[in-house]
Amino acid sequence: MAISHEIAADLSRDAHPKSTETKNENMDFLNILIVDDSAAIRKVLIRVLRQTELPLGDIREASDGQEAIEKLEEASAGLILSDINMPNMDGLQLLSRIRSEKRWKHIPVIMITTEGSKSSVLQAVELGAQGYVRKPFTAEQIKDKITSCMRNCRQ
Amino acid sequence: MMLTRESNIDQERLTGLLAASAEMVFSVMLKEQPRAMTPASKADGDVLHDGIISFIGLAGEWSGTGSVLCSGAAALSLASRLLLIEAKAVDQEVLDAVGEITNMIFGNFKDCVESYFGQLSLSTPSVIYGRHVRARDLPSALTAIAAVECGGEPIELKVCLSPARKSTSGAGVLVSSRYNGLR
Repeated sequence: MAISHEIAADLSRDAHPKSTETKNENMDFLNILIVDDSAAIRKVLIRVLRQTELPLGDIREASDGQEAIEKLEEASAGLILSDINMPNMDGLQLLSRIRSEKRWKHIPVIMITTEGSKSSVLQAVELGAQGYVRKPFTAEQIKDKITSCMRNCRQ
Repeated sequence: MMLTRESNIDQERLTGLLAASAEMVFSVMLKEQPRAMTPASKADGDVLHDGIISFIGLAGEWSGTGSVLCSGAAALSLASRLLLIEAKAVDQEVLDAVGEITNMIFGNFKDCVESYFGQLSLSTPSVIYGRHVRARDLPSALTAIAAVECGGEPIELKVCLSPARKSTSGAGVLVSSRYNGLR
């Protein structure tokens, strides 16, 4: 059964009380890593992010979890937007890896996926996702989720 | 008409959910409200097609395939509006866009029908582009076809589902033995 964005957000808030490690300057110029095996979706997300008027810094792309780890090794990120279903290393494995590394565990992660089942959402939340957006998505949904996610992390 | 004893969904409802999933994806991602139309394909017939067929697997208590069938011109139109580009040839970028639209349509469809069929998982989509492509679905318990017109081009959506065959413990032993033998 599909789970609403609001329920997912509530689940996220309940399961992840405020992180004290995220630096405030993340929201000044937000460096974002987009992880999705679909080049089309990465392109759409970049377009949508630019429509939001969020204070964006670098936007980098990775086509799976493994490549995302390589990108993070090069430079950390202020926010990660990740698909769940991907080859090599999926979004849940990526999330688990990020949360297990002290240098990355503060990075907010929002899952953006077609997976709407409650079990996937709960699993992502349990692993430390701060939010969840279903495909198809609008620019407003992305903006709202990022804004609320970053606000929660700052508190 | 109820189609099977195992699922209490009728074909009309299934077709409606398929069309509604497509309409939702097109309206949100492409900013276009598609028009429902009568599909050209028959549920039990072969498809001989020039253009694109994008397949995605569904697996769970029921398993089967979802597919999106459209012309090359329709694919160019879909990709152009999704990516905000002027796609002129059916290249990797266009095929990727059609695959992602397939993923979103059947991702939403899956969520709508899980109350009838149990939890389902989606595969990654495979997109085929060519001329005189003949496609055939093996007989399945449940088939639904919907069609929409988007950007002046018809786009057909099809789903075929059957109750999944339960694996036996014997099959598991056979596989394990084979791997053990190789090692």
